Amino acid sequence: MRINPVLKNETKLAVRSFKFTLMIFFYVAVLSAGALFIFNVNIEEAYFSGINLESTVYFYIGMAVIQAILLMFIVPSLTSTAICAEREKQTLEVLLSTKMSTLSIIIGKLLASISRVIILIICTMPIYSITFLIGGVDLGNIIELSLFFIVTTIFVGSIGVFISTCIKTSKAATAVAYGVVLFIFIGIIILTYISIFFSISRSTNVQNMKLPILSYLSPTIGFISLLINQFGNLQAFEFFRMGMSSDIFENGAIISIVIQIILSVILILGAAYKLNPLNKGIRFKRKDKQYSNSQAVGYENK
Amino acid sequence: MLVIRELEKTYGKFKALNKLNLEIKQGEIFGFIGPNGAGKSTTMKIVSGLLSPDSGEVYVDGMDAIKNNKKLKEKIGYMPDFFGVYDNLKASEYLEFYGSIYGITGEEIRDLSMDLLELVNLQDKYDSYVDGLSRGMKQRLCLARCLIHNPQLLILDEPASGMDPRARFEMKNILKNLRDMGKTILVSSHILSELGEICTNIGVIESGKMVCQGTVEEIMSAVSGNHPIIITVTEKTQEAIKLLKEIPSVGRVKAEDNRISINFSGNDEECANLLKNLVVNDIPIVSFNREVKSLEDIFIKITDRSELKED
Repeated sequence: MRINPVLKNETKLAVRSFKFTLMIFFYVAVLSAGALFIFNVNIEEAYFSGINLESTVYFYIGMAVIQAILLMFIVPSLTSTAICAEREKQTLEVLLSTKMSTLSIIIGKLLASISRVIILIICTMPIYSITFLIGGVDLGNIIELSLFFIVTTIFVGSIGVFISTCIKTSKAATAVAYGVVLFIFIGIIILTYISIFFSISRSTNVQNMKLPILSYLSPTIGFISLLINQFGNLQAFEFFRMGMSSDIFENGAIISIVIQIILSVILILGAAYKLNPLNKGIRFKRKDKQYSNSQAVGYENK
Repeated sequence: MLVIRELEKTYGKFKALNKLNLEIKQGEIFGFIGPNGAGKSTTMKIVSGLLSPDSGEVYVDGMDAIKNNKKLKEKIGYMPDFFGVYDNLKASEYLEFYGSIYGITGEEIRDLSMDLLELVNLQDKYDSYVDGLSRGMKQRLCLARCLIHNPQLLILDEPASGMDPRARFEMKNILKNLRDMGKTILVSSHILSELGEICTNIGVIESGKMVCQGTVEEIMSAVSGNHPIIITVTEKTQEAIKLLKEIPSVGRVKAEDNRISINFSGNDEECANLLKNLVVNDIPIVSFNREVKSLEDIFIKITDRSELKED
C-alpha cells in the first residue's frame, strides 16, 4: 500500500520532536488527574451512602467533557500551522513544484495531525476503563464517544488547515483558528440558547420546540445529544434541555456527524483549491487584462 | 526543449514580464542574466508551473506546459532561489521523502539517494541531519532533490547565491557534470562571471524583456566591437596619433604617456590594415589589442543601453 508521502514524512518528523512527547505527557497527566479526582469524590460518597451507580456515569461524563475541552485546544494548534509553517520554512514552494497534487498535500497534512490526536485518544482509553470497575458504562458507549471525537477532530482539523492556507503567518492563523473554533463550540450554543429563550417566552408549547438547524453546526449539540442518548434523562442534562422534550436530541449525534463530515469535505476541497498557485492567478487574471489593455491604449494615444 | 513565446505577467501595476521570448535547445545550458527584479524568477516559476502567466505560451519538450501542469512537473526539476529544509530529517530521508512523491521507494530510492549524493559531493552526509548542513551543502542537497525523478529540464534559480567561492566552484563543477550527462539547464544569476564559464548560451533580461540572446561568443563579439583598441608604443606617440586620426573608421583618440586608446568601428580586415599602416610607418609598437571586457562589463553595457532606449 502506498502511504501519502506527506503523511509519512510529517509523522516521522512529529515523533522525533520533543513537543510530541510533552503533548502526550500532559494530555495523559491532565486526564488521569481528572479521573483520580472524580473517582475519589465518588468513592468517598460510597463510604456513606453505598455505591451509587449513577455516579459512575458522572465520572464518564466528566472525563468526556475534559477530553472534549483538551481536544478543542490541541487540534487547532496542530492543524492551523500545517501549511503556514511550510510557507514560513520555505519548503512549500519545493513541495508544490513536485508532481504531488494540492489535494494530497492537504489530506496528508490533515491526516498527520489527526493521527497524532488519535494516538492521544487511544492513550486515554485505559483511563476510561476505570468505569468498567464499577459498571454502568459499557464498551459500546466508549467506542461511540471515541468515534464522535474522531469525527470532530477531522472537522476541527479541516477548519485549521483551511485557515492555514488562507492566512500567511502561523501566529495569525492559530489565533484565527482558536477564535473560529471557540465560536463554533461555544458561541453557537450561546446564540442557540438565547434564541430558544426568546421563543419560549413567546410560545406556550415548550414540548414541541425544535432546535434551530444552525445550532447543529456546533459539534457541542452532537456531543450533548450523544450523552443524552447514552444515559437518558440525567439531572445534569436538565440545564441543556431547558424544559424541552429530550426527543429533540434523539438524532442529534447522527445529524451532527453528517454535517461535520460534509463541512470537512468542503473545507478540504476549498483548501486544496486555495493552495494551488495557478488558481490564485485566475482570480486576478481579469483585472490584469484590463490593466494591460488600458496601458496599451495609453501607448497608442502617445 | 523549452520555448517561451510572448510571455506576459503583471503584479498589480508592475509589469514583471513584457512579451518575453526564449528558446532553449536540448542539451544547452542557458544562463539567464539580469539585475534583481528583471523577471528571472517570475519566468522560472511560470515554466515550473508555480505561477500562471497573464498571456503567452510555454512549451516544454513540445508539450503545452500551461495546460498540462501535472505532466510538466514530471519533466522538470525546479530549485527556487530561497528554500528551506525540514528539521529533524536526515539527508537520505530528505531524498526518500521526495522520491516517494514520485513513487520511488524501498531499495531503489536508497541506491538512488546514494548516487545523487555522490553526484553533489555529499556522500559522507548520508546520515547527517539536514538542518546541520551548511548553506552550500543545503543548496547541493536541493539540487540532488531536483534530480530525483530524472527530469529532462532543470530550472535553477540563483543556485550559487550566498555561497563562498569554494562552494561556488563546487556548484560549477556539478553543473558541468550535469551538462555532460546531457541535461538541459536553465540557470539564472545576477552575477555574470558565475555563468560565463559553464553556459553554452546566454540571455540577458531587463525589465521583463529579453535584451539579447545567443551563444556566449556571439554576445561577447556583438558587444566587444565597441570596445576601444589599446596601442602601446615605446616612442613617436604624437606621430602615431597623427596617423591614426587620418583613418576614417577611427573615432576618438586618447593618449596617456605611451598608451593610445582609440575607438574603432571598422571590421577585422580594417583593423589589420590599421596595424600594418602603423608598422609600415616605423611606429615602434609594443602591444596592440582590444580592451578585454568581462561578462560583467558587457552586462552593464547591455542593460545601460536598454535603459537609454527607454528614456
